[in-house]
Amino acid sequence: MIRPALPRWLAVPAGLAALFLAVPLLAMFGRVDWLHLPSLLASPAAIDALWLSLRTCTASTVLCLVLGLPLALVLSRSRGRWATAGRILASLPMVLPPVVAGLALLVALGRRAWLGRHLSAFGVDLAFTTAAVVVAQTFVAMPYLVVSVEGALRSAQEHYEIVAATLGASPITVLRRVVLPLAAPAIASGTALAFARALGEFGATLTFAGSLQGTTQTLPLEIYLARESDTDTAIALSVVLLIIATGLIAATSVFSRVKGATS
Amino acid sequence: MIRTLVALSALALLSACSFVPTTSPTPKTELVVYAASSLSGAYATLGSSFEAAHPGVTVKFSFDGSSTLVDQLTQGAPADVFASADRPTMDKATTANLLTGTPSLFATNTLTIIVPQGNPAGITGLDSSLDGKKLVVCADGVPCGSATSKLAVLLGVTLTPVSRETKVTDVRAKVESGQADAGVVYVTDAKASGSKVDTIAIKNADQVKNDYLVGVVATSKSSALATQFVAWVTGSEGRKVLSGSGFTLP
Amino acid sequence: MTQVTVEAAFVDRGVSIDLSVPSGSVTAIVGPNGAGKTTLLHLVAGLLHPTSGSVQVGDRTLSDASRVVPTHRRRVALLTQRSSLFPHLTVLENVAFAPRSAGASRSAARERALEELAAAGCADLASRQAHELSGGEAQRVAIARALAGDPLVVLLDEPMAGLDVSVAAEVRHVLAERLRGRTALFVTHEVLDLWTVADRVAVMDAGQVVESGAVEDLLTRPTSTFLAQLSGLTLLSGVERDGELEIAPGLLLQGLSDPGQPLIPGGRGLAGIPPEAVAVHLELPGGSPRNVLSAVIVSLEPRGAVVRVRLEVASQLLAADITTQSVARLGLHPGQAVWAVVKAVQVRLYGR
Repeated sequence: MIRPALPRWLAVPAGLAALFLAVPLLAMFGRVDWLHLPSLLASPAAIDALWLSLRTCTASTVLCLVLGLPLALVLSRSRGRWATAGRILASLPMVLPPVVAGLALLVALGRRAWLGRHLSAFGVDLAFTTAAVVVAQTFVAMPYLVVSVEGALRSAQEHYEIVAATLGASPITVLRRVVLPLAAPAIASGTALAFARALGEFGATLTFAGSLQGTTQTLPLEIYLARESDTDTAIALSVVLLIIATGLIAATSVFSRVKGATS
Repeated sequence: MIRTLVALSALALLSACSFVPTTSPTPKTELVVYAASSLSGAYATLGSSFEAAHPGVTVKFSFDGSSTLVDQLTQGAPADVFASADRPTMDKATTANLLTGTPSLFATNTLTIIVPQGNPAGITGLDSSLDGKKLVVCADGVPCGSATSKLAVLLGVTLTPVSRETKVTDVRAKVESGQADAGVVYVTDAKASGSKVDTIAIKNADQVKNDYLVGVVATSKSSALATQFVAWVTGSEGRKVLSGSGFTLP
Repeated sequence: MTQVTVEAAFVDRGVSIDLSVPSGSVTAIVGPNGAGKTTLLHLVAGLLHPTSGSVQVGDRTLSDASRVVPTHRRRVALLTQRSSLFPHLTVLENVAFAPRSAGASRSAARERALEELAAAGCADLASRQAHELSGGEAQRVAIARALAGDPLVVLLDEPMAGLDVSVAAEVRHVLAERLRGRTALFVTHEVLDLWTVADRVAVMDAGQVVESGAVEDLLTRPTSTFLAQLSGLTLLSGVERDGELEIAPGLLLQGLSDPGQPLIPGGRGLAGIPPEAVAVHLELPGGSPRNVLSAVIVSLEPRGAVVRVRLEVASQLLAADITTQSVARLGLHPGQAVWAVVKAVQVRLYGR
């Protein structure tokens, strides 16, 4: 079957759009001081930032999965006004400016805040800790997981669940052997997206967690600081971030292709 | 369809252009000033009085970190006046031939400690009262951070901050919100925070001064007006407003 | 004993069902669209909970006012038009799903699955993925999967509806073989399913079971228009008089009395008439045949080589299949007054 072609002139704005997106990113590769790249990246601050970013992003991605997956499951089964409210809430941090997310966390979990005060009473003090970075990252990254997984869960797989129940599968078995495997591609790509978003998290971390080498200064914060004094390091680190992000997004598209093959 | 798309893009471009300072050769009544963030309060006031004294002139500001502004000037940003919050950054600009003439020193700034209102952590100065407390300072790469380090060395204290912020305003925000027990900022920042913080003077703070310099940008299309603005800043009006904001005058 | 007893109402869909399916019987559920057939299956499967009443299998209550057994504990298998084979599992894993869910070991479940696959004629498909199967193969695997869990009741909701005629025939064959001796409720529109797979039939209309009985009885001596249509007959009703059926005052219809349910003298009765037994004439035919009825043409529907002519006879409807050629030659048209001649030997008379 041959699908009717698109109007030819569309190639012009489409090409412009592709260039618009590609040129700044490619320019970064051109601007990198490749000769000194290893030494630029070997600075203690850069290594600390990279290592901290990987650790915190892994932690926040695990948190996103542990908490976000159940939320996505519950939302996918919910109808009515509360479900709509839940869905809006679950995707809100996606569109909030990161600094607003940081402020929101601050007024909720800050040392002077109601919840923060109660946490300190239990000896939990988030202020300026690595845990605060993880909280900030989880807050902004979880929506990506919830939204992509919930979409997959809501799309036509109800009949599989019904059949599984008639075959004697208990709710936990249905979840384990039918619902989650069917949603696996979406969960995988949602996880990768959440990780990528956590990796890029900047504003909320800066506002809520602070910036200290090895503790709260993640890769984006280090880039922001390095830009003040040492543009070469900033660009070198940016390229590293770009490469990791490319890998993650490529992974999500591979996952969605796997999904296409089995449906 | 094509017509709609073309019209939309034209509209988008037009509306975007109107926000870009114009560089047309026609008699210009707009002055673009790039100034360090810590000057935002004082310069806004000076801009208004300059406009009042020069009818038909509009002063537009871009406030950001001094080195960010130098980066933008290097990329050809259309500015007429540049004011830096420290000498090394201004040196960078002059070395790169971004300015005409010699920049003039118009103010200095010193450091102070701010604490949340009521000083709940009982801080007494840049001393052992900070031990175990949540201290926030500026990062080493930025002017207020370099000044803080210099002052600490001078006083023989080792600082163990919980956060090194890239912007002095982030230090202020963390103290104002009570997240931090203490922060080291410029006197002018302490003044801007008003009653939300208490100020605790640092011994020998005047030993480490940040120099504020202003100059005319080499590529300025209206350097005469820019020179007038520099004079306004260094003159009596400037001195009045700057000292009111907490700056020390040279 | 796995007799299914449904005495339940589901108010939202205007359904109120009273039905008993004997143990070991495959009962076909027929009726017009929207009659509540699928709702009945869902009530038995536990996918809907009755507003009132109860659902029982054997002496176990699955749903009533005080308790609801969840679907997965009912041992009720469901086959629908879509095979719903799990796309992430192989055919073998699909069929082993029910034994595994019931707690069987991996190897025992696998053995059971292979057995069922062989019985459904799909042993060679064991290692395939669901998306590699044709529609008929998928449906046969689905049958194996449903039966591998040893369900007490099998529910079928038009499992052949989406298949080509020849493929449906294969699946029908497997069903007939594999459902024999099991208790099943089989929703279908195909009269062939009734003859080959089912032994009993229940007719639903407007949310209720209006009649039920053995397939043989109901299809050869239909008492409702719906069943008559299903078995390809038209019905004329009347009262017995002298061994014949009086369908209107003085208008007698001759036929063969059905020994299974003979006309009762003076009692109400029905005549089941196949459309091919009816001829249409413009003039009163000579030779005084019996069963000559004055009729008016209501409509003409072309059906391949013949035209189904619907006639109004004594305020009742009668269908006649006439060749296209004859329709053209006679110039038949709606509203026309004609004579319908019914062959007595093809008319079955029975009491109701």
